[in-house]
Amino acid sequence: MAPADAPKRLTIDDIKPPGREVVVVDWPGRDRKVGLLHINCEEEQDSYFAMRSHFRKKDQSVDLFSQEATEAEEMLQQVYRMLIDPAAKVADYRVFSDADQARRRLSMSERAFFCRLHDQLFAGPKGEGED
Amino acid sequence: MNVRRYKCPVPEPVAVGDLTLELRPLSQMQIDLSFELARMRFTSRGLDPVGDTYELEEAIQLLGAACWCLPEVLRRLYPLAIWRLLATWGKVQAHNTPDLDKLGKHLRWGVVEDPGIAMDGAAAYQSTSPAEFYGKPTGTLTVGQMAYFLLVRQAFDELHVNDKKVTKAWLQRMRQSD
Repeated sequence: MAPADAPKRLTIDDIKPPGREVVVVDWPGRDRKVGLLHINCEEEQDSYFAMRSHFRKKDQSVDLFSQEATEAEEMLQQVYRMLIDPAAKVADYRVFSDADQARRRLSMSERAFFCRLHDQLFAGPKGEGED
Repeated sequence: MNVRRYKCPVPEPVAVGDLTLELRPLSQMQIDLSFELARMRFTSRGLDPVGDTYELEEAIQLLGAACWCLPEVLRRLYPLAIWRLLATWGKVQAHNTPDLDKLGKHLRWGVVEDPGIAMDGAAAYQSTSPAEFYGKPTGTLTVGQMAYFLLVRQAFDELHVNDKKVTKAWLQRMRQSD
């Protein structure tokens, strides 16, 4: 139980909706642009949980032998969450309706490209956030 | 040596965008509880509590306790912000973890020379537990607070009890002069 003199706990209502970082980039190989959203902790964790759920549905184990496949699936889940409508610039306006659609329409090289671009665009200065 | 920082740990304000969080040192029980909450979030989904995502959840739960903030709020931050906050909290926690030798020496001097420390020594001597001394549950007390209680009590004990100078009347006088 919280001590009597403890301050009130912050809730979601106490803070403004956080401004999300979005960068509009060219979609390589396609004549269009796409918004690349800086994914937050919640989306990063959701990607991981969705990856685990995907493998569970397929009755596949997640271990060292399936590491490559799990990393690829987690990357897909992240890319599905980071690609948004460039005009809207809002996290709710994703390009794909769900991860399955993203899986069907995104090539492996496109997934890797957007993931790498995300890391390059939103990584902090070298050394920060480590250790 | 500022011993007050051990007795009354002061939270450190940290700005994160529009939000200002106050990071405070945690007790071992609060740290253990944070890790347990992180573990439960994974095990309740049938997942093993391992990996980068789990470490991120541990950091979120720990910071939730340290800044008295709901984990849902912290999950809206970017992972880099979480790691930066955790690094800052590490400094706050280290600042509250005393060098026991130095603190002990200072308190042995303080129970003679510093009336505030002398009073704390007397109060600690009369208390049956750190919880009684601070008026808070033991599980919420930081490492610094526990060390301060034990060492000021020991310093007082060494000074007075061994010399048989402590009497009920003396303690009464000390209380009245506070």
